[in-house]
Amino acid sequence: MMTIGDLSVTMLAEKLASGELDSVSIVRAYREAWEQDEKSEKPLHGYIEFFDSAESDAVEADTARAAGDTRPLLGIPFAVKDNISIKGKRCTCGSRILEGYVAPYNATVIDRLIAAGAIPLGRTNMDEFAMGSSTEYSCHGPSRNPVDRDRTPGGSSGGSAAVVAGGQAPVALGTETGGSVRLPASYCGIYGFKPTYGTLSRSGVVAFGSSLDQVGLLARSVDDLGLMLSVIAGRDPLDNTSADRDFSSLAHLSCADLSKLKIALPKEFMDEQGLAPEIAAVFEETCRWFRDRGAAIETVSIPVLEAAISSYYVIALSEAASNLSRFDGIRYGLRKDPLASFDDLYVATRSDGFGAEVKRRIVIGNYVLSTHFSGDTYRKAMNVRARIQRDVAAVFETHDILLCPTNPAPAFPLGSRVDDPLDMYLTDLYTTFVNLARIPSLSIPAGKTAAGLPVGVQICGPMGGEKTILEVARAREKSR
Amino acid sequence: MSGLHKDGDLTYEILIGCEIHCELKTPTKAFCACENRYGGMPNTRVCPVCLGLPGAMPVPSKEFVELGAAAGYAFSCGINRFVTFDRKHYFYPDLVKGYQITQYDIPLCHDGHVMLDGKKVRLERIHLEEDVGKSIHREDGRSCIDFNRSGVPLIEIVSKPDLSSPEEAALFMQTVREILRYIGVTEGNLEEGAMRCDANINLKIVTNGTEYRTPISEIKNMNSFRSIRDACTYEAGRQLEEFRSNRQPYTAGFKNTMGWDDAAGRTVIQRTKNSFTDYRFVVEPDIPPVILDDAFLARARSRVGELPAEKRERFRREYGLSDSDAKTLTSERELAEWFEDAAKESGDPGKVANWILGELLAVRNDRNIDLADLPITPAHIAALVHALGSNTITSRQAKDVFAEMLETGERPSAIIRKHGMEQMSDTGAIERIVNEVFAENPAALEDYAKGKTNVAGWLTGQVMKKSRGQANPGIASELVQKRLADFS
Amino acid sequence: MEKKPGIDDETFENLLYLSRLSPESTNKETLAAQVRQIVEYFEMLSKYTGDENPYDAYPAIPAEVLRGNDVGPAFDTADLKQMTPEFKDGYFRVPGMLGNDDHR
Repeated sequence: MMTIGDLSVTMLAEKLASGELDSVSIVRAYREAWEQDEKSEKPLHGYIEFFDSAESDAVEADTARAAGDTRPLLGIPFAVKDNISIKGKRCTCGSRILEGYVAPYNATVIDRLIAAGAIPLGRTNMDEFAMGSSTEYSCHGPSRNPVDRDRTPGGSSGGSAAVVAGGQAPVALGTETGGSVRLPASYCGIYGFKPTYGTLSRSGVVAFGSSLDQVGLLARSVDDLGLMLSVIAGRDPLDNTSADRDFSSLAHLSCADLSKLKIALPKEFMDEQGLAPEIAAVFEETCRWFRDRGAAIETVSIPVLEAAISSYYVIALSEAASNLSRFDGIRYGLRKDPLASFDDLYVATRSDGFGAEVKRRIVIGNYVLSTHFSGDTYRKAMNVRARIQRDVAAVFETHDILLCPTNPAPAFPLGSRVDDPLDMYLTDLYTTFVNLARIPSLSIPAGKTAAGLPVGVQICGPMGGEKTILEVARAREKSR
Repeated sequence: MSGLHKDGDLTYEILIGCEIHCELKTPTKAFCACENRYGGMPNTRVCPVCLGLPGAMPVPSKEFVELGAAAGYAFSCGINRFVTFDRKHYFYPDLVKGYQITQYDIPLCHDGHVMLDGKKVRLERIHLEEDVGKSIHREDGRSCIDFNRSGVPLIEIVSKPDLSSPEEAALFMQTVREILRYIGVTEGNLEEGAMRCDANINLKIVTNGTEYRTPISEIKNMNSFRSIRDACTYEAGRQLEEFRSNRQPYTAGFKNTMGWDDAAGRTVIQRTKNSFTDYRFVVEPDIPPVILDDAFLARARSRVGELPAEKRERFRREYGLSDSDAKTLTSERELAEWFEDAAKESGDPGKVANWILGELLAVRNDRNIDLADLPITPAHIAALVHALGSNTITSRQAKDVFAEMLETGERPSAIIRKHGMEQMSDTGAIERIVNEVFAENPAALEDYAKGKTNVAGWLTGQVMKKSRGQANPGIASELVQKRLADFS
Repeated sequence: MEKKPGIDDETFENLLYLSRLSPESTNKETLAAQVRQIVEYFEMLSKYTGDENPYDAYPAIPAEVLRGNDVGPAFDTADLKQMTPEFKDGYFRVPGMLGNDDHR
C-alpha cells in the first residue's frame, strides 16, 4: 500500500484536489515519519529542523482550499536546504559561524512557493557553506543515505536528498555550485535537477560560487520538477543574474519523441579510467535503452573539457573566499570578541566559527585571487570558461542532449573518505563542466549496482533547454 | 602658481595628482533601494543588501550609471559602453561585505580633462563605486557604526599628476565641485563629507645636473579646499627637507599613506598593524556586464547641458552683461535658467539682471531657501520690469510692488490694479490736479511772487501727494513750472 | 610576480592574515599540499587559454533593465536588535577602530 511518504508532488496535488487527502494529514504524516526515524538506530538526520509552523500553514491551506482556492501548489509541503533564507527561520548553512542567525527576509524562490500555496516543511542538512560532497562537513553532524544508512547521501545537498528519498518530504530545494544537487540525487536514487544558470533567482540564497551557484530541485518524478519550476522560475529584480525565461509550460510536460533524438557522448569522459565498472555498466545500458528507441547517439570531442576542473577550482575557490568575507560577527551570527582590536574580533570569530574544510578553501581561494601569489591565473580561468561555454554550445547546435555519468562511484561509507585528490577530481569531473557552461542538467535514477546502490546518469541540455531535458526524462520514466 | 622653484642649490617642481570621491545625487543607493539621503537617525536606511546579509545581492540603478556617465561627459571623457564591476577586498568594520564593489579593470569613463583658468589638467579615469558606513569613536575604546552611508553611490575622479602647486590642487577640487553641482550630479556638501580628496604628491628635484624624485605621499580624506592647500604646502616642504637631510629612494608603485592633522598643522604617516594588503580584485559575479546603448548615452549627455564657462561667455555676449554680473548669474544653473527665462520674457536683460542681483538674491539668501521655493517666478520679474519700462509705475512704486509680490505671489499687474497704482501719465488728469493744488494753496503762490525758490518743488510734491504718488513726477513738475511761469 | 610552487612561511602567514584566520586554523603541510595540487592544474589552463575575451564568460544585459528610482523599505530598529546583541542605541558596536576613514 502506498503511504504518503511514497507520493510525488503531482500525486499529492491530485489527492488534495479530489479531497482524498488534506494538507494537515500530509504534514502530520511527514512529521511522524521524521520523528520515528529520529528514534531509530541510524536516523537519517536529513532535517536540522522540522518546522512547527508547517502544521498551522497546512490548516490555513485546507481552509483556503475549502473556500475555493485552486493555486497549483496549495498545501504541498517542501523541504529547504539550510542555505536558503526563510523569513523568521534560522539559516546556518551547516556552519557555527551563523549560530543564532535568523533570516529577516525570504529568498525569492521561497516567496514564490509560498505565494503558490506551498508549505515550508523544514531545514535540511548540508556540508558547511556547500563545500563538500558528502554532508559530513556539517556542524550539525552527518546525514545518512536512506538506501544504505551506513553510507553518505552525498553532498552538499545531502539532507535534501535524504528526506526526499527517505519519505520525509515529497520534494526539496537544494543548491549547486559543481554538482551538489545531482550528486546526492544520484547516490540516493532520485531525480536531481540543476536548471540553467539564471533560471532561478539567487536572492536570499547564501552565495558560495556566485557565477556557478544555482538553486536545484530534488524530487521523485519528472512532473514534479516541471511543476515546481513553472512556479518559481523567472526574472527577479532583486537578482540581476536571473534570466527572463518563461517556463510556465513546464507544468504540462509531454514525452519527447525518442526516435528523433540526437544524443552526444563526450569522448573525454568515455576515456576516463576512474569510472567504476558497475557505473559504466549502468551508463552503457542507459545508452542502449535510448538507442533501442531510435535515438541517434554520437561521440563528440570537446577537448577543452580537460581544463574544466582547473577552471572550476580557480573560479569556485576564489568566489568562495570572496563571498565568505562578510562573516565577521559584527552584524549577525557568532561573535567571539577577545576585547582587543577589531582585527582580533575578525580572527577569533572566523577561526572559531568556520570548520576546517571551509578554512582551507578560504585560504586557497585567497591564494588564487591574489595576483601577487598566482599571477594571472584567475584571468586564464575566465578565458577557459568562455571557451568551454562556446564549445559546449556548439555541440548543442547539432545535438539535442548530452549524456554522461553523474559520478564515478556509488555512495561511499560514512567516514571512509580520505582527502585523496584523485578522488576529489573524479567526483567533480562529470558535473563541474555543467556549472561552468551554465547549462541545465538532470541526474536521473538509471539503475543500481549489484549491492543495490543507486546509479545516476546525467541528461544535459543547451542553455534554456529545461523543457527538452525534462521531456526526454519523462519519456524514459513513463516507459519503465 | 606653477613651474620651477629654486631653493639654494637645487630647483624643484611639485607634482600633485588628486583622487576625488564624490557622492552622487541619486534617489536610492548604488546597489539597493534604500533612500540615499544624508543624516537621520543611525541605521534607519539599511536593508539586507547594504548590510551585507547572507544571500543579499547588489542591483545597480540606472540613475547611478547615468549620472556617472554625465560626469564623464562634463569632463570630456570617453565613455566605456561595456560596464563591469569588480570586488576590492579588505577587512574593516564599516565595509559590510569584506569587499567594496568598485570598477578596477574597466572604469566607466577614461581620459578627459578639467580646465583650471586656462590650464588643462588631464584626467586618468572616472569610475563608479559604493561608499562605506560611518564610524564614531567612544571614550571606552569602542566604536559605533552607522550603515546609512553604506552603499551610497560614488564616483572617483582620478587626475594625472598635472597639478603643480597646492593652490592648483585646491582649485582643482573647487572647479570639479562647481561643475558637478552645476550639472546636478552631486550636492557636494563638504561639511557632510559628500566630497573627499586624496592628494598624491611628490617632488621632481634637479641638483648638480641630476634629477631625483622624492617618494610619493598620499594624503587621504581631505574635505576642504583649505586643508588640501595647507596639507600639500606642508608636505612639499617636508619632502624637500627630507631630501636634504635623509634622502629616501623613489620606488614606482610605492606610496606613503598619510593623513592631514589640521590642528597640529602637519601630515601624519598612517601605519596598519600588518602592512600586507592585497585587494585581490575580481570581477563582480553578481552584476552582469551592462551594455550602454546610444539612447542611454544621449540621455546622459543631455544632463550636462551647457557648462558654467560656456554659459558665462554666452551671457556676456548675448545679454551684454558685465564680467562680474555674468559670473554671479551663472554661478548656479538654477539661477542662470531663472534669469534667462525672465530676460527673454521681459526683453530687457539689463534691468532684469539688476533686479535679480540687487533685490532678489538678497531676499533668497536672507531666507536661506531655493529659488524654486520663492512665491514668485521669472514671469513676475519680467512683468515688473515691463511695468517700469512702460512708465506704468515709478521706481519707488516698483520697490513696493516687489515687496508685496514676494509676500503674496500675486502678479505685478494685480498688485498695481489693487492699489490703483497706475502712474498717471495722462497730462490732462495731472493738469486737473495741478489746478486743484494751485487753487488750494494761495499762500504758496504769494511766496513764489516774493521770490522764494523752492515753491515749484513744494507744489510738485503736493501734486504727487494728491495723486497718491501716481502722477508721473516729470510731467507733474513740468506742468507746475509752466503754471508758475504763466502766473508770473 | 613569481609563482611559487609551494608555500613558504611568509606566504602562509600572509594568506592567513588575508583570510583573517589564526595560525592554528589550519595545518601548513596539508595546505601546502593542496596548493601544490591546485598549482598543477594551472598549467592545464595555459594549454587552453586562447584569444577568448574573458568577459564572454559573463552574459551581458542591456541598460534598460537596470533598476529604477523607487525607494524601498528599510529595516526597523527591532529587526536590527534581534540580529546581534551588540546593536545598542541605534549603532553596531565594535572594538575601537582607527580615526574616521583614515585606514584606507
